[in-house]
Amino acid sequence: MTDKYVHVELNGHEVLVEPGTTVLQAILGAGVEHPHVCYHPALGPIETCDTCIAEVNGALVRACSLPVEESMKINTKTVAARFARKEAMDRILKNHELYCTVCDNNNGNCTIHNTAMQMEIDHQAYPFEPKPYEKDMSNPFYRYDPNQCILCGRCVEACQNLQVSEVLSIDWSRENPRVIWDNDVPINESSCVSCGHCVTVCPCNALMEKSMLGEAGFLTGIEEDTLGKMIDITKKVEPGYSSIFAISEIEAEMREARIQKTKTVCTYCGVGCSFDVWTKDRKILKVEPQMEAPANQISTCVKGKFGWDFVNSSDRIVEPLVRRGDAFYPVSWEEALDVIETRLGQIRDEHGPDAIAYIASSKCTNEENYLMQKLARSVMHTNNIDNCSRYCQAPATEALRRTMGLGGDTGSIKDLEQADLVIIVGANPAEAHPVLSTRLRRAQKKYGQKLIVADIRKNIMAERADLFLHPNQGTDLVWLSGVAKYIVDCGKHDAQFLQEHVNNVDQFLASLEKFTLDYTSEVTGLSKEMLIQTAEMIMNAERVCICWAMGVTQHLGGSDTSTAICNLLLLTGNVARPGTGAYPLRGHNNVQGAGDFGCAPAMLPGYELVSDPEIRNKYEQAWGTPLPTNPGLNNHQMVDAIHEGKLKAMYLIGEDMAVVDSNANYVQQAFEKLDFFIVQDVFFSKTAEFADVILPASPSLEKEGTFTNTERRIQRLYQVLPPLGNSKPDWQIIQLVANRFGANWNYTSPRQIFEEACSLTELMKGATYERLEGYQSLQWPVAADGTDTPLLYQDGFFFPDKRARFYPVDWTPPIALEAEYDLELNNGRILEHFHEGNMTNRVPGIHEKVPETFVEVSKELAAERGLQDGTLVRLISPYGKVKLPVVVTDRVSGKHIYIPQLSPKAEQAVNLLTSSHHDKATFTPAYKEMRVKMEVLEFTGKSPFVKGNFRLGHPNPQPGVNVEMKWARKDYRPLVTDRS
Amino acid sequence: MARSIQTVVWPTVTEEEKQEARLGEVRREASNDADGIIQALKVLQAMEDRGMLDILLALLQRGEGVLAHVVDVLAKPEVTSSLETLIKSVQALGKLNSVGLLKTLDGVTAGLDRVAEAAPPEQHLGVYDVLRRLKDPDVNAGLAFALDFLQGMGRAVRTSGTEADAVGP
Repeated sequence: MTDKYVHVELNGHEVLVEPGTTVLQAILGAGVEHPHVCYHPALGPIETCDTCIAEVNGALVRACSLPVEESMKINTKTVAARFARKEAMDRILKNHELYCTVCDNNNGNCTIHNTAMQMEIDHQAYPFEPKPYEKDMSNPFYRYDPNQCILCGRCVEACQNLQVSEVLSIDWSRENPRVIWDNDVPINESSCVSCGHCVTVCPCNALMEKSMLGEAGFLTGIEEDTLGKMIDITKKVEPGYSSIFAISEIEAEMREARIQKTKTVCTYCGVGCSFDVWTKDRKILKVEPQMEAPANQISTCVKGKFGWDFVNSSDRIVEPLVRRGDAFYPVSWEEALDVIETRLGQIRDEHGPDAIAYIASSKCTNEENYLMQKLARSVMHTNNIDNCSRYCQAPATEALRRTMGLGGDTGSIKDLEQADLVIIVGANPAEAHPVLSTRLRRAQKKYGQKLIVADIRKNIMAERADLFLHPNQGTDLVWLSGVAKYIVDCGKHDAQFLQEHVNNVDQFLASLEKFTLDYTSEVTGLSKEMLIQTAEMIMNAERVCICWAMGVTQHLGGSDTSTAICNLLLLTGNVARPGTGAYPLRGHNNVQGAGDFGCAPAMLPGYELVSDPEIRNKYEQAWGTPLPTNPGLNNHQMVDAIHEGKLKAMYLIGEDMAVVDSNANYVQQAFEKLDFFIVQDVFFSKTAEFADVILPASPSLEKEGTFTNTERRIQRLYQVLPPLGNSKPDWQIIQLVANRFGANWNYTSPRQIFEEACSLTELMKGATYERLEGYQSLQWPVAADGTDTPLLYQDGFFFPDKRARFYPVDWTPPIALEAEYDLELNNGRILEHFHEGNMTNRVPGIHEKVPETFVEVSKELAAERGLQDGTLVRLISPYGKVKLPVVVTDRVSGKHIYIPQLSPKAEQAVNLLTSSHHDKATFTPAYKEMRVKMEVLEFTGKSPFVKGNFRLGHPNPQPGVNVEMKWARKDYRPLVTDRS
Repeated sequence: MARSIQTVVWPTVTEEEKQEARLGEVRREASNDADGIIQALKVLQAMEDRGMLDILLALLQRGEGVLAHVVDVLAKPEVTSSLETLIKSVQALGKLNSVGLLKTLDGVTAGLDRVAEAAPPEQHLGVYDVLRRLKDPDVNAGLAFALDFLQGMGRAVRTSGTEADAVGP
């Protein structure tokens, strides 16, 4: 037992520590207080500050970077070590003016303040010397003050090696070193993506959220000039820091009274970042990520860190609105509910319960989704319930259920970090799942993970890939199968794994026969060498993960290509082990949960089948009502059914279906035909324009509940702000509607709803609010005793015989159009905005950086048609047309063009061009298969890329903070013992 | 049939209606916290009687400017140095044993009482000057003056409170 540990002597006492830990971790782990400034657990040793020096075996060393060794003698208390640490801290304070009481960072968590207090520093040994640099206020979200910067390099390490945007560095060659962006340009003109990592890790007030400035403290809102004088006075009269610290501690304590810190889970993408939100009344002061956050620790993207101002937007709907003639009129909740009761009741009585459909929201909580399907089934007696996962992830879920049994990522983000090889197919995680992508970039840069990206667009991850595959549009299934066949032909598939764990092997191998290298290369346009290289990288890797998203799923053969991915993973034994698995990257924050909690026509919560009489019986008992047996309609079928006159009314929550569903013109025409349409949203969306009743909902910050992220991880969000105006959390609204139809529900909290829902399922039986308290989380399946499952299938696959199944698939060629539609249209997310932009476009800083949408064209196409940045073009498909300004870029090539989903103006929505063709198995629209023609309207115009767009910057990759350059400076005297 | 529309007709709320709604809110809140509000009114009246509300109002209205002036005054070297002295004195006081401090202060009072009748010294002298000029009759007088002070103080320090009270004219 003790052999597992290393024995060291710490200040004369024997201590056991795990091998691989550093001296600093050993000291802190033993409960000994020990200063350290530049070291951060998320970043590892940086070695710039020297404040952690200890004496080890008689030599002075930096405790943060030295690994422990057997019988090491560590002494933190010797005079020499104390002196060295004091000297180190004095050098830091030479770079930092202490004016804590009037500093916005005086919130009890300032590393400099706390370390100086801990070390009982009372006087400045070296007077503070201002540096000859101005504050950089150019970025809308944060500012850098070189005068307060202690040059610890945390921000640089975070940018270069955690976020890996490679923007920040310290220029050690100057007389006065400072942090610079790119090659020393203003922050807002650099390649900075405003992810906020640097601000979060800054140990002082050098990098601060602008929203904190003048707001956080009682004395910090004073005019700059007066404040400067106050700082001078404070410094002149200071009789030693201890009394300054005492006063600032009191002030920090007082701040606690008016600054609320509330944990929430991000409302944007499926990564599921959680963090504290600091608020003062309704003002959002900042987002403060925490190391204990399971999915992201201290990581965020621009939306999670800075994208919350939409909550206080004056565009929020804060009263129920009812259509009368050609206008909406604000009414009371009672009046709105009266209209709903009357009209929906009439339609149900006249046309039957299946004439009404319900669409839940992947933006809403699990509790709200559960209630929405319960309303549809138990109260309104129809299975016409669906959610927007139909538009993106249903094919991935289908494929996983075909082959492995459970419709979720097979592992966690941690497994992606541990893999030797990650393959990304048809996904752009650097923009659509930013924090997840940082884990891959870090693993590649720091630990040599290999990366293959297969995409028709050279996105950010493709730029970084060890191998970039650019197949023809819609041919991923072919190269996946070709590579699988090559691996089998080499005899490098995992025969033992197949024998022990997988059915249908022969059938599957036979299905691969046609995918020879010749055929594969011909169909995909990939060279045989590239195919072989791909196969070899897979064969040579011990652990392989495959991530995919809408570039795979939104095709005619979306489910089949997803299945081919699963087949390939099974073939090579890359499932059910740490560091391996299948990762469909869920788009919205709760697209996983909306499905998990039964918002699909054929599935009750926990993916239990509506068609199974036993399961129906269970729910009938629990809910005390009969349940419908008619098969329900999915979103896609609902639109058709409206056109056919079968569907008369719809109740839709939190989904701008009029622009995000494909073939938007067709969808909007359907909405015009509805007899009665209820839209529940935070904003007056395009969809709301078609409504008869608009119900004002509260966004995530204004409610409690749970979200489930792409790792199947259930996390709790707490209410940060009260609902604005007369808006209400969706679960309360659904209950009000249900009770108008005799439901007699009496839920007083989301906890009741959650625990009712989970206790009914097999999948999440043991999930309770208590087990999800604070930053705790559960990854389903959750057993009754609360045991969760971060890595699936370690005890067998989710089928009665515990064996996975190969599911042979064949290629479906993409939609063909007449030759006049000569450009291949692709679409997807961009980093700054979420989806169509209803929320992010109302965040002033984001709007400033990316104010409008655009179409990306290749340099070749630009040369051929005389296009340049800002050229206004009209794009025409057989289904509609849009007018957009052009951006010329090498992210796309040849006749590929790319349009973001962002559409601040509904008439620019890319889905006016897409069709209603869909995946055969799941009805997911083939958004990624469309061809268009282009007309130039105006050759010159303003570029849609404005100053502040990170794509215009020039990153400056560095191995890290380059501390050796600091040590080599003439003015640096080493404090550690020279061991050379 | 429902065409897409963007018009919302907000009811026109008159100034009177808005005022009425706001007053209603105030009345509701006031009746909830009646006791506290009555007390607060008394405090306010007392402050008005003593003219404090005028001062406060002026301070609040001209807050930034007043603060800037205050800071300007504080930033003068002599004021800054006084502040420093003040903070140091407060720190020094904090270090004193309170019983000892009382005794010493009593002593100082007694000493001052004792010398109250003597003439003040004319100039400040260095230690070596003092030693060299001990023979000077004026210096002698000055020394006696100081010794008188010390004697008075010493007596107070040695004796108990009641006796110290008795010292002096």
